Amino acid sequence: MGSPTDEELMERFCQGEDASFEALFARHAERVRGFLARMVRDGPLAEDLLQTAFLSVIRARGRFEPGTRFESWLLTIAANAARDSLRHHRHAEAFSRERPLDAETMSPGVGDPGLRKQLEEALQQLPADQREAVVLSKVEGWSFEEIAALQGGSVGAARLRAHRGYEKLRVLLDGVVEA
Amino acid sequence: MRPTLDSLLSQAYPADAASLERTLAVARKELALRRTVRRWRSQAVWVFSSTVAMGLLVASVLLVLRQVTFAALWSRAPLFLMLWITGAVCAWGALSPRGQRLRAVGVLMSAVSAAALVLSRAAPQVEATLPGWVCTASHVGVGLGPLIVSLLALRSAAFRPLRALVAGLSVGTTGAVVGELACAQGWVHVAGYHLTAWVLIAVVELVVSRSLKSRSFAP
Repeated sequence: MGSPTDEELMERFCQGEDASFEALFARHAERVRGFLARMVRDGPLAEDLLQTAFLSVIRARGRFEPGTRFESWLLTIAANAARDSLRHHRHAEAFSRERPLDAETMSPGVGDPGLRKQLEEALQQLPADQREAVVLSKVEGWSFEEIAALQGGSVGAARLRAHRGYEKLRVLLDGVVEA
Repeated sequence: MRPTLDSLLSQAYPADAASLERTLAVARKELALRRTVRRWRSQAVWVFSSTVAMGLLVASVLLVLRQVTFAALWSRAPLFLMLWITGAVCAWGALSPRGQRLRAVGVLMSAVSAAALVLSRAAPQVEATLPGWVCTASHVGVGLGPLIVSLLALRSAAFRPLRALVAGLSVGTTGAVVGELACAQGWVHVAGYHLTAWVLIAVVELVVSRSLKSRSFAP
């Protein structure tokens, strides 16, 4: 018998099985942290938002509908938390709180740190909705229909936001990435 | 060789085991609290029930005080029914995780109900003995209980302006029902003082909901 799907685990969690939550956490926490770090850059803020996202899963499990893809639901929660935080903190504060990545706790060998830093800086220069659309479409593999449902508005508008953000990134990283 | 933008974007973010450990510890603490989890459907039923209960309570008081008769209530039954259906659709749409279309339907139904409230009134049936703002204040006043219930329910979801507005429209049906029970003024009065109160309570719901900290960011 294969391992249970995310949705089966969520269903069990809704029925009171806490171990299922831990299994979902083990599967998705790293990815959600990556998404949040790209959205807000600030490490401590990303960690706060990661906690907020998983606390939301616990507190709002009564809002999880059968037939919903868990991963989309979780990333929607994370995106909502990031958007709310950006609205309150604004970029200036997020940048002022920026701290260097803790070398001891980071796993080595994941890409070039210099390039990653440049990418993160370029991402932060995009408007939040464009950044969200680029990260969700290019990093998380979301469809434009899913992005439109999250951001509100039409599929065309979501596609345009992602396209504009991507092109802006390309300009910002001119000379760093291949044209 | 320079990487492509796609390959740079698709690079995994560096793992941070300590951060995940801390987050899991916080989550375990929350789980240990064993808080009751309510389904969104039961929250929607609570919001709708609170509006109906308040309307029925006022109707009962007016019946006991002989300020209204069963015949008068019966003659207004279609309007009450329409207002309650509007309230139910708005409450369901506001709390539903996938209720975008239902929210739009709720706004439309509220507009139709508001028009029906105005059009069902002809000339004033009695001379006004109180200033018009008393009706506005009463409309808002009877909605306060349902307003608190809906604000608490909305805290379990991510803030969305339309969601809060539609919840406010649901709450506003309480005052609209009470207005039909207790006020016999003409359509100008209804449009000026009752509908203003309905809009006011929806705006209050929107503003307070926005300022409250959500307990979750779930859709």
